[in-house]
Amino acid sequence: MFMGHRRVSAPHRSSLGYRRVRARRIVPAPRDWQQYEGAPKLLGFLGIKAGMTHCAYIEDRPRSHLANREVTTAVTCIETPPIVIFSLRGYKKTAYGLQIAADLMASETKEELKRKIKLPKNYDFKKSKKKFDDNLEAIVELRAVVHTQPYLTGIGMKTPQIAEIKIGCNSIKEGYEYGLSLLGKELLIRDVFKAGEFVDAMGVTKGKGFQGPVKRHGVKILQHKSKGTKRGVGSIGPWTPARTMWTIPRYGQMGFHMRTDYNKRIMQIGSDGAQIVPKGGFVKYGIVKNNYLLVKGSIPGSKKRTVMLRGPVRQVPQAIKEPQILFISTKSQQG
Amino acid sequence: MSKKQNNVAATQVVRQKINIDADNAILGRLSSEVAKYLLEGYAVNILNCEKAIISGKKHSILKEYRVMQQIHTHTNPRRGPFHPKRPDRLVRRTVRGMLPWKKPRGKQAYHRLLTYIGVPEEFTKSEIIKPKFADANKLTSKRVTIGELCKEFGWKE
Repeated sequence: MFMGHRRVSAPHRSSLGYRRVRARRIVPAPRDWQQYEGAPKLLGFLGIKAGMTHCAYIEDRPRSHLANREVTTAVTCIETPPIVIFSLRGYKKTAYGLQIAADLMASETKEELKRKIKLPKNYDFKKSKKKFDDNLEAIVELRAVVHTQPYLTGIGMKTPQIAEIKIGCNSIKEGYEYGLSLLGKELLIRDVFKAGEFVDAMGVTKGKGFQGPVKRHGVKILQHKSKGTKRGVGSIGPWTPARTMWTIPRYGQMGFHMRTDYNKRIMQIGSDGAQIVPKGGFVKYGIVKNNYLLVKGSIPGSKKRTVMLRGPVRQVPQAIKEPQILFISTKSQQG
Repeated sequence: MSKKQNNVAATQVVRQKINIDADNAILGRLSSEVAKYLLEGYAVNILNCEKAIISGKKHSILKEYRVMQQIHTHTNPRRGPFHPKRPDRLVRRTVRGMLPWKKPRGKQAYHRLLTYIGVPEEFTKSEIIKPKFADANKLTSKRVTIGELCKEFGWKE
């Protein structure tokens, strides 16, 4: 506008709703779970982000102006090797929130789990089960403690990652029986989600390190004749109060935050990775060896990063149909 | 008793524990009495914090608390002062206001105070005092429990 002038007030350049600090852990621990009633099942799954490609499908949203016509969309591929349920955990309700009531670990666990946690030497399954049974009445929430199997993929990661996933069920007893039947066994993505359903993708975003206000908050670059700096904030506040307000966009950590993308539609769940992997493999990832998931749009995080796929906590369309996919691009992403 | 003697007495009775049931007790009267006990050297546990009461109409008490909750650091609200929204913490903070908080004596006394929601299992067998000095039965006015108040602030029971 005019030289040296700006409107007196303007909307804030970035959201003040988040603290821009590094995530404490790389595997998400959801605070909220899908409200679910029905046959017992896990309300989430863990996958590894592989890369993106695009596909053509028939638009099946009846209200869309492109309904029943062929459209293309970007899709994210998430490799999902089977997860292993190695423990059950029951939570009881107290005045101070949920607290652990009892744990029940499987009698036999995978060898690779030793890389991640120290396992008990003389573990008595029967004793633990009795303790769990005794506490069953007090338990209000059941969660499965699962670990991933990244050594089945081609990314060179050996140490499994651990997460708790809630078991959705009508009654705790039903859920407990379901959990016992799974204990120590592998679970496939097909047992949890179906194509066409919606999921929330939770993960840690790409880390950008220490950044200035232009990149971190999107403030305007000042004119080239600015004194001192042109990539800084024009004013960091008034004379009094003689402190910097918390709302001022400043330098600091950017990225590596825990974020959730809501209502991502699953386009396809497949087992033959060769059909979707681009020629020469996904860049910085390689080929997909296991079951995979195609999700419409993007999800947070870098490639090779663990993503929590959680049943949707927000309202989603009721009628769920499997999208009719016509074509998936396998064009080389190099050169 | 001189001040010096009082302090000596305080060190002698340290670790004597009192469990107080805050059910139907007036918050301010309870707190001032508890503060006295703490400064004498007692360790005090207040139970059933959510059942303590404040006399007066709910909306006017709520209004006062809402005004108080607006007080925060202008340049960065994350620096406090913090306003507890859980019954046990609210009661503990109320007692803190009646202790010489900026002196070591008050700070030590404050650390001897523990507050609880309901009656935890570890106290079911021990002796619990029902304070007469803060009995709300003598009130003729309207009243509101700390639990009701905290629910308005967002506490989930």
